[in-house]
Amino acid sequence: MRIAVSTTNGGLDDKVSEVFGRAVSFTIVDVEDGEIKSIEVVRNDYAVRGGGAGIAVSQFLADKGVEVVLTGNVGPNALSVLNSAGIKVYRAGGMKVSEAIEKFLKGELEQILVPGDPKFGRHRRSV
Amino acid sequence: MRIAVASGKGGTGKTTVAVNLAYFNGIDLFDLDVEEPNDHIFIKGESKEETVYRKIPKIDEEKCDFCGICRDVCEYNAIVVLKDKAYTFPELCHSCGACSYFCPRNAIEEVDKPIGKIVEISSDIKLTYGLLEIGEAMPTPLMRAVKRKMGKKAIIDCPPGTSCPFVESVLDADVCILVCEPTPFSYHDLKLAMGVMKKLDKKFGVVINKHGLPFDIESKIQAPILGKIPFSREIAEKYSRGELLFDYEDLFKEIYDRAVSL
Repeated sequence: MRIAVSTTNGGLDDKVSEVFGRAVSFTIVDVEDGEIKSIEVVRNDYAVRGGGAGIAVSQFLADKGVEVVLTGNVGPNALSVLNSAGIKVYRAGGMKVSEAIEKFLKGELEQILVPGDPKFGRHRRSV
Repeated sequence: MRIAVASGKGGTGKTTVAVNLAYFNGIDLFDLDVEEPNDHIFIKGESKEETVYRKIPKIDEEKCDFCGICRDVCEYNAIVVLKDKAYTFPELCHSCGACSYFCPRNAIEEVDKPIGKIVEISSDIKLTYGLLEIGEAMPTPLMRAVKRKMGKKAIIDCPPGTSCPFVESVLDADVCILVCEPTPFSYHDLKLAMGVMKKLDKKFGVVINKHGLPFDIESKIQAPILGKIPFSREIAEKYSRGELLFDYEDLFKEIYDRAVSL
C-alpha cells in the first residue's frame, strides 16, 4: 500500500504538516504486511505556484499510485480530486510521520470526509 | 480623449471625481469597478442589460481517452485527468483555450459560462458599467467586455488597488487622474500607482481630495496637481445621498481642462 504524508523536510522523523496542497514536501512510503518497504521524499513544486495547488498535488499523488494521504487539513477542491481518485485521507497534522503511519495501520486515525477552509495553506507554507 | 480615474488606496474619492468629471463635462462614463460598481447611484436613468460570457472547457468523456494533455497544458491547474475520469474546475480556468486546442481527440468543447452583465444607463450622460457575478474570480474578462463599448471620449472609473484590474482599466486611457487624500496610507498607495503609471508610460496627474486634512501630501507629490477638493462635511453628505456636487462644477471643469492638456 502506498501512503503519502504531507511534510516539510520529509522523512519518517519529520512532522506531518498541517497543510496539504502547499506542503513543502511529501513523504511517500510503501507499506507491505505492516512494514515500511521504501521511502521517497518528493518536493512539492506546486506549493509555490498560483492557484489550484491542492488540485495539482492530488493529481500528482493519484498518478503516483498513492492510495492513502495523511495530512492536517485538506481543502474542498483537493478533497474532491482525492475522492474521485479513490484516495482516502486521514487527519494526522502535527504527529511524527512514523507515528502517524503506525497509527494509521492500527486504524487509529480519523478519516477526513469534510474539507477544511479553501486557501487555508495559501500563506502558511512554512507550517 | 479617454481619462481614467484611479487611486491605489480605496475610498480616496475615485467615484466622486469620476461621476462629477463626466457629468459636468458631458462625457460618457464607464464604471470598470465591476466587483463593486457604484457610479449608478449618482447617474440614474433607464437601463439596458446584456449578459457577458466567457469560455470554459467541457470534456466529452465518450471521446476522451484520458491522455492528460489538456491537464499538462493548463497553466492554472483547472483540469484533472484520472485513469477513467476527466473533469474541470471552471473557477480556476482563465479561458485561454489551450486545452481544447491541444486535445488530440477533439474531446473538449468550449462552452459559455455567464460571468456577469453590462448595464447601460441613459441619462444626461451615458453610464456603462459591468456587474460581476458573485463567486466569479476574475474581473478582467468582464472589464474588457465593458471596454468594447467605449468610444474615443470617455471617463473611466477604475477599481482600487494596483493589480490586474487596475492595470486593465487604465490600459486604454490616454491620461490618468490619480485621486489621493492627505493620509500616509493614501500617499503610500499613490506612490505604487504612480510607479505603475511610469511602467505603462501613461501621462498622469493627481487630484487631492479631502484637502485640508493635516497630513502634508502636496509637497511630497512629484507630479502635476490637477485640483484639490476640500475636506468638507457637506460634500460627504451629498455623496452619501448620491448627489452630484453642483457647487463645484467649475472645479471639475478645471480638472478636466488640466487633464486633457497634460
